[in-house]
Amino acid sequence: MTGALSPSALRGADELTLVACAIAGDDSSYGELVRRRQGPIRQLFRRLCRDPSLADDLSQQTFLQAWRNIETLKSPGAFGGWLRRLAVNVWLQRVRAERPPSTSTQELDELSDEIAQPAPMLGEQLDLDSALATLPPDVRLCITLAYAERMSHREICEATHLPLGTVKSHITRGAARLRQLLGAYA
Amino acid sequence: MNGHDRRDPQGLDPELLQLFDAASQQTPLTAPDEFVAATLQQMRLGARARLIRRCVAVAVILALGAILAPFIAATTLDAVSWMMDHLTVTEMTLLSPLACACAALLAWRIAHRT
Repeated sequence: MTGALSPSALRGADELTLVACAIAGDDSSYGELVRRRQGPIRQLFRRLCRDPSLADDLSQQTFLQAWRNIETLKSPGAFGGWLRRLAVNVWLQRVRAERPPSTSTQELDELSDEIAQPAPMLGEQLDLDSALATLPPDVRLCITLAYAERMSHREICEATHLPLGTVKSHITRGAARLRQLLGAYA
Repeated sequence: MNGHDRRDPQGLDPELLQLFDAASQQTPLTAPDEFVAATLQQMRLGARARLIRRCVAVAVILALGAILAPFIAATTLDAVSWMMDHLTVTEMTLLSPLACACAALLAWRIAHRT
């Protein structure tokens, strides 16, 4: 608990200071980081799983993992990206625990077949989250990271450990599928 | 969105981008304070569990040390007495503190020669 900040100082402190204090073991600084970063992380999980309660559980898991490993963070400025990569890992672990591993090719083929078929609810006004939920988990993850988080293809590739070609393909095909499902706006 | 910088969208569909932006604004997160409080509570529980694990580990090490110390001391004494009985004067000289210091000095010279 070195360099602990007062509650008022915590609110006014910039993120770099908070991260540096958290790395030094100050839990109140880390609590302030949780308060500031909970929104984007919870939104990301809600987009991925559509279940607010599960999204909050996964977000909490992400923040706890970050808290346990924060001393491994070399640069305080990298905290945001590091936290997001942890969130992606937590999501991938969850997805892989739920289903047997399938190769990217298989998944892409499955998605191609789905796209080739008429959209089941075409003509209805689907909301974005419902449309996203119809995509395979890896495709949904790539689409969410690209469109909601504005991550570059390379960043997505690093965060998900998927090959760059697969990431690009997931994004292109996933977007095509979304456009098809959300036909009302096209 | 979400505090991230806007960057070149790399050929992303602009209408889909707008939809994502609109969707994130339409679904405000509920109870951020409760979420933070629950996370901090989990951290406290985690810290307590970690402390307990460390205490148990230290206790186990101390207990093992206490159990094994007499055996280690007896074995060391046996080994020393065996050496005193069986080694020659020359061999004993090699085990003397002066010989150890010379060996350490030699090792230091070799290590720093390159």
